[in-house]
Parts: sequence; structure tokens; C-alpha cells
Amino acid sequence: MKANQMKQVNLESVMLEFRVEAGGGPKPAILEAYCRRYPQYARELTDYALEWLIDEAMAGTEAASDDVVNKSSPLVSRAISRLYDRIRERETGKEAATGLSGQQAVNPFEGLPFPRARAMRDELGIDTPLFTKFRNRLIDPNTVPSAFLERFARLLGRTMDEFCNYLRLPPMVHVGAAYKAEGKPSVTERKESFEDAVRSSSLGEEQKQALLKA
Amino acid sequence: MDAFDKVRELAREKNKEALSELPGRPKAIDLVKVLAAKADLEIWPLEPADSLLNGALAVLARQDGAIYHVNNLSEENVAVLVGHELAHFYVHATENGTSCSRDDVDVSASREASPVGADRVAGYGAKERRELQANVFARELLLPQPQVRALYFDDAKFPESIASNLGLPLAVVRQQLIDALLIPSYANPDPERREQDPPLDPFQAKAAEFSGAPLLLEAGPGTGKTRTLVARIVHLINQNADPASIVALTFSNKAAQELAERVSAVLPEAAANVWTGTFHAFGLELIRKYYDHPKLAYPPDVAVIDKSDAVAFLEEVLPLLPLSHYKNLWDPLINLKDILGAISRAKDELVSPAAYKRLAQEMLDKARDDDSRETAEKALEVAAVYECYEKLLAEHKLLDFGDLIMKPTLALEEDASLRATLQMQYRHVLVDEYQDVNRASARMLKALAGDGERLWVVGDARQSIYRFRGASSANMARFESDFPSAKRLSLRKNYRSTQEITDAYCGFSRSMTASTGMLPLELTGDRGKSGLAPELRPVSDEEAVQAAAAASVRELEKSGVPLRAQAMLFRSNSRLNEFAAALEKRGIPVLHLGSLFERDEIRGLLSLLSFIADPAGSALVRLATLGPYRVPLADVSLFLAHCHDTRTPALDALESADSIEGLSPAARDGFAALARDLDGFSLNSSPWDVLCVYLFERSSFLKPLAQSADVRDQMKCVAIWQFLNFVREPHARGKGPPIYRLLERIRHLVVLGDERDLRQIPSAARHADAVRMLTIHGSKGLEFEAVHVPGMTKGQIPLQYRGVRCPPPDGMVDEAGLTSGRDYHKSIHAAEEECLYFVAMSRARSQLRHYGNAAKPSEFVGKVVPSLNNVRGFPVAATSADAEKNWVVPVAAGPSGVIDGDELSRFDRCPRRFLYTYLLDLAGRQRETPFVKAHDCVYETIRAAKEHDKAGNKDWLLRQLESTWEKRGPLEHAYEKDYRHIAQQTIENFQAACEGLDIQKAEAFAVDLFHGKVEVNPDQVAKRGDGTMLLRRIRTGKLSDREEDEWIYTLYHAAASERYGEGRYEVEAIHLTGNTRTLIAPSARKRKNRMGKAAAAAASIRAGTFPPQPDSFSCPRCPHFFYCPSLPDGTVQLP
Repeated sequence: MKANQMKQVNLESVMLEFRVEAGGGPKPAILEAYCRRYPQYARELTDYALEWLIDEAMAGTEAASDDVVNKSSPLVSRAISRLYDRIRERETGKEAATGLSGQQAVNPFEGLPFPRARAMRDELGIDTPLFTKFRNRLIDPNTVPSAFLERFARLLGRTMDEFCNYLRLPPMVHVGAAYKAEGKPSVTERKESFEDAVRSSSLGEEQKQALLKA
Repeated sequence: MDAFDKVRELAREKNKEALSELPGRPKAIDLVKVLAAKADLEIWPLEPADSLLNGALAVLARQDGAIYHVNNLSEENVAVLVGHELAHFYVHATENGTSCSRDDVDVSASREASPVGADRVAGYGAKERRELQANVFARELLLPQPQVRALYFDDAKFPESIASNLGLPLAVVRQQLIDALLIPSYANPDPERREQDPPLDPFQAKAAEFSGAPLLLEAGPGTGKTRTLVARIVHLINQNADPASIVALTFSNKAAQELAERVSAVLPEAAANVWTGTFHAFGLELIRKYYDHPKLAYPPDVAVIDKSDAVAFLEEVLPLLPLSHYKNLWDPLINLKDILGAISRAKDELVSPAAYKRLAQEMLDKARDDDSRETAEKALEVAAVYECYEKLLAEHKLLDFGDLIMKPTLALEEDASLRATLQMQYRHVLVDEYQDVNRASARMLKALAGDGERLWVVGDARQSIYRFRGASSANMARFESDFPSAKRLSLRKNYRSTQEITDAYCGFSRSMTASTGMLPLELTGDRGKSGLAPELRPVSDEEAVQAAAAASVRELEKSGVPLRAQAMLFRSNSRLNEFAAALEKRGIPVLHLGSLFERDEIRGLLSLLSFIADPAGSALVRLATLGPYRVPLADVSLFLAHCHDTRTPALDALESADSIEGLSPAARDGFAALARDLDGFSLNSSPWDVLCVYLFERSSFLKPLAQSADVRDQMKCVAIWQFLNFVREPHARGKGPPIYRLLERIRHLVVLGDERDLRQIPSAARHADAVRMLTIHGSKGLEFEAVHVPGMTKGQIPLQYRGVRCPPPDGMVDEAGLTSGRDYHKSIHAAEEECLYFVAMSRARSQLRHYGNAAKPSEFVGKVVPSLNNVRGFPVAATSADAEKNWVVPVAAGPSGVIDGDELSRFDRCPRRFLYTYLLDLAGRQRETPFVKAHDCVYETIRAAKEHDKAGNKDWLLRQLESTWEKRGPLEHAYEKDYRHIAQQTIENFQAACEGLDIQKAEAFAVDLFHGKVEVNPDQVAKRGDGTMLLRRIRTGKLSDREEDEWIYTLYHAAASERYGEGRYEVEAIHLTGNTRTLIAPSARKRKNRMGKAAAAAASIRAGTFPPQPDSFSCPRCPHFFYCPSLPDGTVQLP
């Protein structure tokens, strides 16, 4: 927990630093300098800078000079609140790193070895795809019987609330996203219901009934 | 070993691993299950709509230890999917997970993507490369080439049974078989690259580590340019630059792939995130990514068309445009090639149709003489076509190659936020071959790189040989003005060549135009002196050049330079073909494909396809000369006549050939064999299916060919391989059955010269021990131990300037000082020829030999400083005086002994065509463009008018046209009304041309040539008021500049002179579309001269001499293209 907090602070402070130095608008040279200094956050910093640009474009204003730092323009405050959203998102929903970002996330499935995951799956009476759907946050926790959620959370060493908060985050898409010709994500924003997921799984009728009834 | 070889090797290992755990002959699905289990991967079939798949066919979820795939496919396809994902698992280990869609998993895709067409571009981002590797892996995993070879040769199994026994899709088996059989395998491939790279030299290191300003690195030949580029990328990454912020733009897909592999060898994880590809591929990626940007409003899967597709579009519309200079109506293709070239050039300069029109109009306004006026008018016509073309593209939501750069660049230039976004993302831009970047790409680069602070480009202005493709060599010279504060460095050590060779081309470089604005070229050869100076071997004539070159090749071979380490370089393909033949005649194997569609074995296959699809079956003429199908000429004629008379398609008639009366026994056997081998095929068969079944199951010629060690046979196999992969690509555009569409596409490609890339030897065949025959363009980037340059004769190297057919309007090309389109072209031609020679010389490692005509030496010879070593007393390899292939066929004089005048005048164009068309009555399937149909109707109406003597009657004529149109017109065509209108106009012109004349009854005139009688049938004979007779030839087109040269007019003169006497007649040419009437009265001398030619033609016919007269324009448009010049044994019946 403590290690997480430290890393968490690091990302936050880096982003803030960047935000301040980039002043009225992000410039490639500044982004470059930050990515070099903190290569483990390169992706986050880049995404942030790009979104910032989009915001500016939408607001219809061009990046002003550097002394915008002290102005509390709507653009600036929006950028800051956006910053915090992203940090939160990253922390709680971080997927396994590509090796460049080594940040630990509050992801209950993080670093789970196969044997453990499979054992868990068997104990819960589900198959691998179902297990993965939980891991990828593709299932709406509101549609899951609480007894099941309770058991799952316990196996993961978390409280039910923590687990549900995790499940409520946006779905994670299974792609090597950085390597594709980055098309617009065709991700389903909507989550699946537990019942649908169970019904389309490979489990036997009895097992399905058992899960749905619980 | 290239990356694909490595992947295949790994796949075979895995195959062995799997087989060792499975008894008997397992199915493919069992293989992948075993391997997945060993990799601790679970395989899960899911509903296609399952959120885990998210639209993909298969997903490798590494962190879940699972492979998910759709559950609605057959077992053999699942095996392929899983194999594909396993490939990602083993080979692309640095990725977290992969998601593969239908487009990605195409396991039968050839490992080398098609060198023609839109695939040339689309293939090549890093992801596409990985998918291609995964496909190759999966194939090899499930059916390794050694196994399929054994099954096919030893066990004599057919692809279908292999597929069903092993549980594989048929397409996979076929593709593996094609690769296994047709790509020669070599026992001792040469080590191609040193595995351990020595450290960078100081110049390379300085360039790789440079920072703080835009950098232009001048890299002469052999100085390690690619090494330095790789080192640069590695350096950046080692300095913590984010690999995803690096984009490296190369000139070709091959270069991009090589770059990606080399970076990957050093930094496997990071390399996957670096974007490498061509400017075109990058442009396409931008368009696909930002498809909802207002300026780039294309569907995310927007298709890219090539020139051949463009022709298909424009062909039908062109006759309707108001063109006159470019109005060769009989064949719009001729002009389309040039016009499309001009349009492409305009896009290279980012010039829109409106701007083009404006420039052309300005040119016209300023024109003071006929020449300039004509040039300007031509440019205006190009503008009209350009506008029409852009409308069609927009309508169908398509892009052409030029658009891939033009559209994103314009969008970037106009939209500051889009620009800012890309600059933020791609902070490090590297460019290879900067001298070949065209103006559009340079502007894209500027938009991408901004002030260029982190821009790094490398190039060699002296190797700028793509100016005619729009490359702008000025880019290198104006780098500092494009990117202020830029710095320049150069590489100084050459690792390829000996000092003597390096000195030779450095010396030449001093006089090159391309050296302007560049640092002087001073290279030290790392290899030092060899004692062998570059040579010139002057000879007395062209034939002797071939002899000297051949002997020289053998001489080097004896002294220890194997054939495969020698290359002969040419400026043109025709020269290359001549020399390839000359070397082969002397028993020297050459590595040379030549023009794919002109090769014998390919023509054989094309004739097969043509015979199936063409109801007239003319291609039988070639098939009847092949092995088991041998049939005498008389029987062929009988058969084809039977088909024509009974209106039976040839393929169908083949079944019942036995019922035809009068066939010889040999013929019955031949037809029966052909019928057996074509059993089951039909007009609507897919050409790919036909060829696979024919080659692998029916015919027997492939097996011995595939097992032969002779280089020529190996080349045949490689050609067939190249051809099969070409056929495999779908040809979506155009109308008609698939075989027909394929054949049409081939014709288009040849006319457009777009099949040049198919001549390249696929890299898989590169180990053959044969002399490499290459054009200088094709040799770029390569090196050889010994290089021969046989073109050092005046007019060859440098190639004589021949002008440009569609010069750009003045002012379009913005090169300093020269705004006239024509002048610009002339100057870049000269500069480029110098570069070509420079490239040729710099390919050589140790030996460089020139050959040329001593009496007319090339002007470059004197510019090589220090001068070339003039060698005396060198050997020549004579060849036995071989009988020039004689084109004589046995002929039998006919009953009438009379040749038709119109037919005779076609003899001039191509005697072989005359033979096929008029003596053998071979029709060939008509290209039924609406244009051809419309004109057919006009001719038919005119003919009917002649027969019924109604030429003057407008009502009658229009009614006749109406009824003919109903039967033969282009009904149901989108532009039918327009064509009908043109036809009507043409008929009205005809009627007007007949007004007020006393039209005589149609009759034939006899003309006596020394060698035979000719019958002249004038289109119209009329009597003038004053008694003068008028002989008229009526054509629908336009009067040509050389109309008078056509023999037919001379024959009219001869006929009329005999009948009416000199001075009592006139000959007139009527052209209905141009609406002209021209008296044709050649001088007596010209008439005598042409009658002589006509007489000679008649003599040739009597003697049976019918040589083909090939030319790259006419041949692909000739109906006999696919079977020329074959002829079965037998006697030709003359009329």
C-alpha cells in the first residue's frame, strides 16, 4: 500500500510540474524533456498533452503565452481537473505495464499468476472467459449477485466495496493498442450483464443456474 | 536470412515439437492444441459478439493465459486462427496482447505482398508486418514445406486430399505447395550480412548522436547509411526518448521492413513501438486515423486504387469529354497513360484541378506560337480529365496514390490543431533517401516536423533517380531554407568498394549537376586499393558488345568471382532483354524474369484461361502447340469454325469435339486430352482455382520443372510463382466474369507499364548461381562483387532525351529559375542520367567493367576521373551463327488468289496480327466498351446504307441507327444517352458529307501487284458534277497527322487510276468525328514507294513470312496478345 502511494505521488507531482512548465500550452520540446526525465510516465504525459491540445481546439483558443499560469481561465481549471481525473483513472484501473511504465496500480488482479487465477476461477465455479470479463471490467457489478461478489472479493483479498469500485471503472480493451494503426477505439462502453455473460459461457446448465441463483 | 526465413524456421521447430507428442498423422487442430497446452495457454471458443473478442476473430490474451476465438468457424479455420495467435505468442513476445481481425488473419497471403497495385502501399505499418509474419508462421507450422513436398512428390497426393487428411483449409495447402515447389531451395546460401556489427566510425557516430538542430546527413554510396540510421534510432531510445514518439520514413516498403528488423535486433521491445514505413503508408494511416476530420472524410476502411483501376473508371467516360488533342477514340488507353501520369505529377506538386486549369489557361493566354498554343491546349485537356477524375474518386470514396500524400498534407497545412497534435505525438522524425522525396512529401514533412529541431534526414543527391516519379532533388539543396538553423554532416568512409572504384565515381561526381549545393564527395575506401582499375572495353558494334560482355563474365568466373556475385546493369528493359538472351545463347545462366506476361510458360497459362473464358476460343492456337494437346492447324481451324457456325462456346464444344466431321486422329487425341485437363472449369470459374487445380492436379509439366536444377527452369518456376501470387489478389473492379477481368487487368497493366515491379526477382530466389540482370533503377541499394555496364555508347548511357508527352503547364513545378514545363523536363533528364550512371558505378565492390562502341563512345567516358583503363586484346565469346528465328509458315495458294485491300493495309502494322486476324479468322473476344459498341453501330449503319444505297437519306439513316442500336448498342450503360447522341451526330455528319453527290453503286476494283491481285472496296464512290470520280474512305474517328502514309489510299489511287485514268478521279478521306473531308494526293514518288511496300507485303504473304512486330503499346491491345506468336503445325490457306 505504501509503495503504491509513493508512486502515486510521483505521477501526480510529475504531471503538476509538467502542467506548470508547459504554461499556456504544451509544446513538443517540453513534452520531450519530461518524457526523457520520466520515461516510465511517457505514455501518460503524452496522452495528457494530446488531450490538452484537443481541449484547446474545442475551446477555439490558441495556446497563449507562458504567463497564463496564474490566470484562472476556464481553460486552465478544466485542464487541471482533467489532470486529476487522469491520475485517478490511472491509479485504480492500471493495466499490466508494457515495461515502460512500472507503476503499481490498485488493480486487484495485478500480477496474478496463472495457477492462482485458475484456482480462483475453479473455486468460483466459472470459466476463464468469465473470469477475464471481471478482470477487464466488462461486467456491470449491479447485475451480479452480492454473495458472488463477496466471495470473489475475498479471494482477491479486497473488500466488496473496493472490488465493486474497481468493476465500475471503464472497460479495458484487449489490444496491444499502441501498435495498431491507432484507429478510433471500437470499445463497447456499455458493460454486459452478469446473466448474459453466464448464459453465453461454456458452463453446464446446472452450474449456470447455480451462479444465477446465488 | 530474412525475417520470414527465421519465422519459418521457428515454425518448423514447433511443428516437430508438437509432432513428437502426437501419434500417427495428427490433424492441424491437434497440433495447435498441444502447443497451446505447452505454452500454458487455454483455448476458448466464444460467440462472435462476445465482448472479449470485441469484433476480432481471435485474441491472444497473454496475461490471462488464453487464446479466444470465434466459435462459428470450421475446425480447419480454427486451427489456422490459433496457429496465427501462437505466432504472436512466440515471435512477438514483447506485446501484451494482440487482437486479430479478418483482414489480419489471411494465412494464405503470400509472404511477399504483391509488388503491384494498392497492396504495395497498404501492407506496411508495423502491425501489418507482424500480421504477415504470423500468417507465414501459421502456414509453416501447420504444414511445413518439406512435408508438403514429400506428400506431393513422394505420395502423389493432391491438395484437396492433403487438406482433408490434415484438417487444413485448402487455401493454406495451396499456398504452401506453391512456395515449396516453385521457390528454389538452395543448399548453400551465401552469408549475406556480417552478424556482428563493428562499432560506428567517427562520422557515423557524430551523425547518430547529433542533437540541437535539424540535421541533413549526406551519405554517399556504401558509407553505411542504414547503419547510421539504425544507430540514430537506438541512440535516441537509449537517451530515453519514447519509442512511440519516433517515426522513420523510408522510400520503399522493403527499406522500412529492413529498418524495423535491424532496430529490433538491437532493441526488441522498443522497436515495436517505432513507426517505420513509407510516406504513402504514413499518409494512409493518417487518413484512416482521422477519418472523421472534415478534410479527410473517408470511410475508415477506405480503398486505394492504382492506375489500372483508374483506367477502368475513366475509360468509359473519356470519350464523352470535350477533348481533341487527346482524342484517340479507338483506344483511350493510349492517352490515358500519359494523362494519368500528368495528373499524378500534379498531385506530387499538390496542384488541384482548378489550379491546373488556371495555370494552363495562363499558358494559353501567353502563347505566341503554334507549339506553345498546342502545349497549352493539351494542358487544358488534362485539366478537364483531372476534374472529372477527382469527381469520380469523390463519388466512389476512393483514394489514389497521389491522394495519400496530398490529402493529409493539405489537411495538415490548413488545420493548426491537427498539426499541433501530430507534432506533439511524433517528436522525432527521421527520413531516409531524402533526395527522392517529392514536393508533396516535403510539405507533409514540414507540417509534421515544424521547425525541425528534432528532424534528422539522410540522403545522397547524386543518387536522385526518381525525378520522373516526381522526386524533387532540390529538397537536398534547400534544406537550410526549409529548416533554418539546420546543420549538415557527411559520411566519409566507404565500406563497399575498393579505392580505385571509389575514386572513379567520386571523380565523375565533380561534373554532376546534382553536386550543386552539396558538400564535395571525398570518400576513403575502407578496403584500400586492389590494383584493379575500372575498365573500358571498346568494341566495334553492338553485337560485339554482347560478345565481349559474355566473355568477360566467364573470365571473372574463372578468376574466382561466381556468377551470382556479378551483375550487368542497363538503362532500359529492352537492352536488358537483349543481353539476357545473348548470354543465355552462350550458355551463361542469367537471373532474369523479364516482362512476366511475355514469358512462354506464362503465356501458356494465360492462353488456357483465355480459352476457357472466350467463347471464340482463339487461344487454342497456342494450346494446340503444347505437348499432350498437339493438334494440326487444319483441325484447329475446323474446330474454331465449327464453334463459330454453331454458336457454341469453345469450351463446351471441346466436350463433343469427336462429333466434328473431318478431324484427324491426332486431333481427336489432342482435344480429348485438353478436355480432360479442363474438366469442370467454366466461364465463371475463379482464375486462381483454375490455375491451382490445373497446375497441381491435371497437368504434368510442373513436377519435372520444380525438381530441375537448371537455372532457366528455376526461373520458370519463379515466374509461375510470381504469376500465381498476382492472380490470387482479387480484382474487384470492372465488369464481367473473373477470368475476363483478370485478363483485362493484365492488358491494362502492360499498357501502363505498371507491371514493371513484377519483373523483380522475389528475394526468395536470390541465391541462384546466375548473373544478375538489372536495370540501374532496380540495382539501387544493392552491391555486387563485379559490375558490368554495357551501355557506354552514345545515346545509351546517357539515354537520349525523347521529350515528354504531357508536359506540365508552366509554373506548376516550382524549381528555381525554370518555369517552362518543357525546359524543366529536359534539364532534369540530363541531371538524372548523370545520377543513374553514378549509381551504376557505385554498385561495384571490386570490379567495374564498361563496354561500348569505340566509334561512338558515351560522353560520360571522358568524365570519369581518373580515366577508365582502356583494355586491349580482351576475349570475346562468339556464338554459332544461329538461324534467326524465321517466321516462315507453309502456305497454300487459295482459289481466288485475291487479297482484300483493307486487310492488306493492316499487314504493315503487324504481319503476325494479319496472319491471325485475316488468314486464320481468329476473332478474339471483343473489348466491349460502350465506345466500341457505339462505333460498331455507326459502321453497321454506314454499311447498310451502302448496300441499300441510302447514304443521302437522313431519316432512313437515323432509323437504321436506331434499330441497330437496339440490337448492338451499349444499352443499360450509365452513359448510354451520351453515346447515342454521339452516334447520331456522327451519322448526321456522314449524311452531310454525302449531300449533293451522285453516289454510285458499290463495286470492287482490282489492282494488280506483282505478287498477287488485290481487291479494293472503297467505302464510297461518287461522281462529281464535272464528271470527276471521287473515291472515299469513311472513318468515324479523326484525321491523323500521318493519314497520307496509310497504304489504303495508295491502293485507292492505283485502283482508280486503272479504271478512270489519271486526272479523272480524286481520293478523299472522310473523318466523321472530326467532321473533316480531306483530299489525299500523295506525290508520284510516294505512291510508287508505297505500292512497292504493298507489293512486298503481298510477296511476304505468298511466301508465308509473318514476323511479329511487337511494341509495348500495340501488343497488349491486340486480341491475339495471349497466344502470339504460336502457331500449330500445318499449312495456312491463303485466299
